[in-house]
Amino acid sequence: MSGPLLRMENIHKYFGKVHALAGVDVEVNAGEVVGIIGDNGAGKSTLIKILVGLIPMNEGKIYWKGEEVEINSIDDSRKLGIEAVYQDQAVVDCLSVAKNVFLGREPTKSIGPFRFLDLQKMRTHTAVLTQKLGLDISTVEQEVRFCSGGERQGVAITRAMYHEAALTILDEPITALSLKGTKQVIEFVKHLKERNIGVIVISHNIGHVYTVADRFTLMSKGKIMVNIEKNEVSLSSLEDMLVGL
Amino acid sequence: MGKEEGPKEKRLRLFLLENLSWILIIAFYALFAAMRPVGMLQWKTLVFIIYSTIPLGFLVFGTGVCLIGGRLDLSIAEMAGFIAMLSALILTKWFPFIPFPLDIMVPVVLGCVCGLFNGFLVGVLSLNPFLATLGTFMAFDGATILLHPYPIYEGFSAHFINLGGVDYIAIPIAIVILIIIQIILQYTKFGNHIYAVGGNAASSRMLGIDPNRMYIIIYTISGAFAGLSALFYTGFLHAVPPGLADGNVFLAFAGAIIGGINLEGGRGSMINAFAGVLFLGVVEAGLAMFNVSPFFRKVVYGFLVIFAIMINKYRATLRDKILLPKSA
Repeated sequence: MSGPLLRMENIHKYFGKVHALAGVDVEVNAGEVVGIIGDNGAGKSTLIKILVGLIPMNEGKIYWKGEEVEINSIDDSRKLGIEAVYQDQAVVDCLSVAKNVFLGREPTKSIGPFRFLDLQKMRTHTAVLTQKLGLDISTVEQEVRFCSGGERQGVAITRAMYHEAALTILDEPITALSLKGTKQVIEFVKHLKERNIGVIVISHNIGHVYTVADRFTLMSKGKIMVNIEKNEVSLSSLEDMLVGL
Repeated sequence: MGKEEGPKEKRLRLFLLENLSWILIIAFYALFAAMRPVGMLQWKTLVFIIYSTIPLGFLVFGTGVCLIGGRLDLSIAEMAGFIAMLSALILTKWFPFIPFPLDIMVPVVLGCVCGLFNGFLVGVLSLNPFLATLGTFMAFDGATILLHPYPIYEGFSAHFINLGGVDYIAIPIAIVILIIIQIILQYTKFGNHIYAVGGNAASSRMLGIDPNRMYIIIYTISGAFAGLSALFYTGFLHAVPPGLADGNVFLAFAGAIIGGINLEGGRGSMINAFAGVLFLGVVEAGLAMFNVSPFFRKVVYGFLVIFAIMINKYRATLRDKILLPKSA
């Protein structure tokens, strides 16, 4: 593969008369962590929703490993190898940790002409991955509503880990997390980077993103205002840039 | 300092809580049997209780599937009445030549079509499920009378009537259907997705499960159960009166909730919901043994609905207490 893993080019999105994204360009390389930073309403989440196929764009092109692709559904983005860990974690409280990790892509086994959930596989893989991630969950059969904020984030991250994405998107991954949870998420991002997985971290908090990102994209009112490498900017000057937007 | 609860005690408490409806059945049956041993302690009474609750049981299954999926179907009982009347007209007057076993498919297919209509209102037009199915409740009720305002007693084939009209045929069929729906809910991807959309539709959507599509399917299944209920009511009564199953939606809700199906969606088992309907059957039989008037029975059923909601609330609180990890 030559060139970036993902290139989004001149992306436009309108919600009625509101121009939510006005010609946004984003690039992510394999093994690179890109921090997309901006205030509420900057268009960060809209951009990600377009990338994962939750909402359609009005104009623009998406290139994946150099080839133009169309992403019209979550299935499309998953087939390419794009996984998202959403701000609200996209977990179902009344289901177990194991069922949440596999929700939407449950492994099955055949008994005669019928296909049934492979519950054993779900439990085993979840137990191994949560342990690897350092999640302190008493049992993978535990319902997610009994998990803390950090653990819930961990469940969503475990999902991304299992499905071996080429690009992982973390939408506000540290918001509402304890110190321990924050540390776990940062470790996870490092872990992805080591495995040459591209990562987009979205946040309105520069401090959180600065620790892990290689490059920063500052957004405001649906536009990319600044695109800068980490070695070119300090945390304080990045903060000044954001305030000045 | 209180004594620390071990995992065995915890499992036992959870088991008792999850199977509360079975405990209620035993307790009430024992109570009625103690008061009227001659009537209650007979094999045929026990069989009749199970047999007589089957048509309502199908309504409970339909209601249960909808509730687990986080939706309501207020129209299910009136839909069953409408389907029974329409099927009766089709099979006895309009197309009496439809052979067995195609004739028994008529109410089920009609149920799927009526359920699909509810699914269209909720899943495609995104109407509020309470109001949408309240509308169809009234429409089905009126349409039944419009179709035929008098009972239909004759013209059904023996096979059609026997299915719901003979206990040793009806009970095994109901049990097989119960087992199939329980397996689908508990052990298949599709069943898991019903629990998921009922638990959190927004999260399910983000994970690639389309809740609107699921609602259409859920209401269609509910309609199919209304069709089965119509079929078994017709057999049980050997006739189709215009008011068949009228108002039974409230009993269906009571049965589902006593059986542990969560009103807020995402939780419940069909086996326990069946226990909920059996419990209603035991109460009905007990009241019948004492010749309690139908009006007083209505009062009792009203309180049973309230009782069901109270059980639902306290069971959820207790369940949380048992399941809450020590560290939380």
